[in-house]
Amino acid sequence: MPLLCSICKDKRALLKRPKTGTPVCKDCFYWAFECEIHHTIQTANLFKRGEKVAIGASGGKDSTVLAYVLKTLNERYDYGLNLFLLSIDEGITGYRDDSLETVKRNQQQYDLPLKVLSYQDLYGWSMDAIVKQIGRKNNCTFCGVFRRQALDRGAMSLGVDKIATGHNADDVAETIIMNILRGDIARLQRCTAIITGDDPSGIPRVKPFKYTYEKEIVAYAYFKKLDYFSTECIYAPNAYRGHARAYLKDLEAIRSSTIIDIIHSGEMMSVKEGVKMPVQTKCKKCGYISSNEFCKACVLLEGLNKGLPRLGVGKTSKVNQQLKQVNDSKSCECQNKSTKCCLNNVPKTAPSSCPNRSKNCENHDAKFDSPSVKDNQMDKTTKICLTNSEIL
Amino acid sequence: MCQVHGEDDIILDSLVPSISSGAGRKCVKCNENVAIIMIGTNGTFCELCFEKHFTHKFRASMGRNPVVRNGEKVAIAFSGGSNSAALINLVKEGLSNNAARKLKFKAGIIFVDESSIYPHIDGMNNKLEEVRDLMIDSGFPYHVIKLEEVLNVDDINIEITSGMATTSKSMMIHEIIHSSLTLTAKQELLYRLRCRLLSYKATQLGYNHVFLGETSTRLAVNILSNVALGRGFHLAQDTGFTDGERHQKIGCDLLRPLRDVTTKEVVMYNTLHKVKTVFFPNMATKQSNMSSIQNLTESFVFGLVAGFPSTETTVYRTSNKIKGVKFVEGNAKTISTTKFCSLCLGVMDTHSSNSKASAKADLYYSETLCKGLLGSSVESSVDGGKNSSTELRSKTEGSLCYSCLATQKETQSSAKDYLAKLAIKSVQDGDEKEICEKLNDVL
Repeated sequence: MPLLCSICKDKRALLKRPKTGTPVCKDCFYWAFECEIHHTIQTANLFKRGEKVAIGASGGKDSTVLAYVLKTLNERYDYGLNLFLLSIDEGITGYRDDSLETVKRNQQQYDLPLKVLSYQDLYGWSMDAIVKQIGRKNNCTFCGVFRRQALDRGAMSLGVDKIATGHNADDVAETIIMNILRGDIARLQRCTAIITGDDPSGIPRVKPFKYTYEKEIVAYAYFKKLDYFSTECIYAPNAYRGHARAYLKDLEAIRSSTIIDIIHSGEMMSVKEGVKMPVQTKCKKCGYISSNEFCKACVLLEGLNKGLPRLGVGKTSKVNQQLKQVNDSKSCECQNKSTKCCLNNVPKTAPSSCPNRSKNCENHDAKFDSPSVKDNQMDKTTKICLTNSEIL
Repeated sequence: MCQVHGEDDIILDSLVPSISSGAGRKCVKCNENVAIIMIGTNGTFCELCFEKHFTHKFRASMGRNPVVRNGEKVAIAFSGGSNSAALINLVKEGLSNNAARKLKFKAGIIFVDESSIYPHIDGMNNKLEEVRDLMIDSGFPYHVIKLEEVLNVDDINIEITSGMATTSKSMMIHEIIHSSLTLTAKQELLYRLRCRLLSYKATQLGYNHVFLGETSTRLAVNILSNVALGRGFHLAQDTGFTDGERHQKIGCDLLRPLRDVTTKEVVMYNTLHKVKTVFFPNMATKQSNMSSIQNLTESFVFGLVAGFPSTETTVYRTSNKIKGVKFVEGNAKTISTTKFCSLCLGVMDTHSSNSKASAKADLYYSETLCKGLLGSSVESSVDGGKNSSTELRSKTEGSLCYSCLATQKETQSSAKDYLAKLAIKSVQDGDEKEICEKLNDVL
């Protein structure tokens, strides 16, 4: 006897829902899937009537399903929302150009207006160009930091009230695990929020898929034959996050409710009294919300423009240290007459030609060979350039 | 005779060559002697400085958390393994007359005999004898208690289906553990029962505290697996120095004085002091990584630590900064019937108060949807005859925290029965007399 759908108890079950383990038929799956997202939107008060909502669209499964479901629910339950698609073009040949084609098709299929912003326009750097500078490692740092800001900038230019992103339950659970592994309690607390932005100037981001399993999103897109793009980013392999993801998938295989269990854990944790937390402020340069004096995007961008792409990749404390060194060494005036070399010739490749770095210049060496600095080659260069330019 | 010593030997083997070949490196502390061990990011230590460092960390954790007062009695939970063996040795040294600052408490040892749940493992008796010898050697008063005594804590009897004429407690506990469907649930259930028993028995035997031998390595694994098990709310109690008031209903508190040292350091300490251990195979022994959440997490953490050594300390330091969220009183819409979970004794975390949308509420909604109950009350009225058992089930569920409920879902027969009886007991203990009367009617 075939397994019957546990909801309608009539039709043959097509799949087992990973969250609950119950067998359901196709129609009931659609119904339950949409109901749950509607329920999430309602109980969490994600939207208000008349709001302009930008859907962060990458062309991937999550955002495609999000666009489809939001449009469907908006019509069915009359949310009264004004929906947009907002895409960021990172400039990754062979990945983003193809996925943008998908978004453009979605625009027509779902009849939603689309806005595309590119890294090239916003920052003057495409990801391809960045990868040429930084190499294959750590490039996700740039992409992630820039995209976050790019979405906000795009949303501001469209004048939207909220940004909806396709982050699913797996993503949230993975982020919780990542933040525990990295000891980032501030983000650990923030990452479980379904709606971000205590900051009044920022545009709130909402995650309608926060409790939706990735598996179900894939199944939904598959059965509905939605047009989406499914290729990994060609620069993707990020060792550490990859471990967390693999761990999560294994956990899910052992106990399928784990993903929602982890989110429950995350929601139930708070930071103890008396633990020092970073205070969120505004970036002094661009005014964007930041945990530091200068926001990460500005630091990274400055590094790129100065030919020092590794500036800002790595520990915040090190960046701060570097910034501090800048202030300290401003008083250091090099008596060597070839100071100009450092000032003008911002080294793009190997900066070892600068005579100031030779042993003759005692001031420099005394400053930069402090025992606290281990990473000499790059840090020295960084500091010299920091010293002599109006960075940040 | 061939003797199995388990994982310790493997770690030792890998340490031995470093003792001889690390000749070039000096101790970072005294800068004189040859280093024997590398501790995290602290650098290399010679034998003497390592000893000081190790003992200091143990003493410092006690100093930072002044829970044990002068003259109190402390029971050390001994499992035969390296962590608890090192703990016994540390306490012994701290109490000896030539200790720098003598510890001011009295100590004893409690060994939990779990052999009744492993009837098929040979040589258990020999191992138990070995453990007994070790405990006698330590010079402390010692107590061997059987795991099945946990049933006496709440005075619970369960019926077992095997049809034997005499149903002993040891068979009951065997049934309870082995009627869980998954290894994850078995390990979790056993851990909770062991804590419950230790706390209860130690108090019965006149102790004020229990020392557990959990190291930072173990805790890093426990933190992650607890998060994966949905136990984030209890993280501070499950992995902190003290479990707070969690067990006060049945006994004393459980302390983790070794939480600042790593297993590597423990093994080195044991080697230097020739501390003997006894290896007991357990449910997780010789099982694959994918057999349970706990096993998977262990291999995940160890694999990660191999590549990113600081992960271990980062994870356990993270747990120092975390506590459960505060529920807004009055605003809390609760589906629980008790204040504390009847299995793990933690404060209930199934309220859905702080934000209206929560993982718990969402899961509940999904389950309701999938049962096809939404919008049709027909279902519930159809099986009117079964109403009483559904009520019992819902009350059991109402007295379990989020994570224990997930464990309960992976149990059947005896284990379910045990949990149901625990639930009734905890409801009886609570103020909700009304509910307990109802439940007794059901039974």
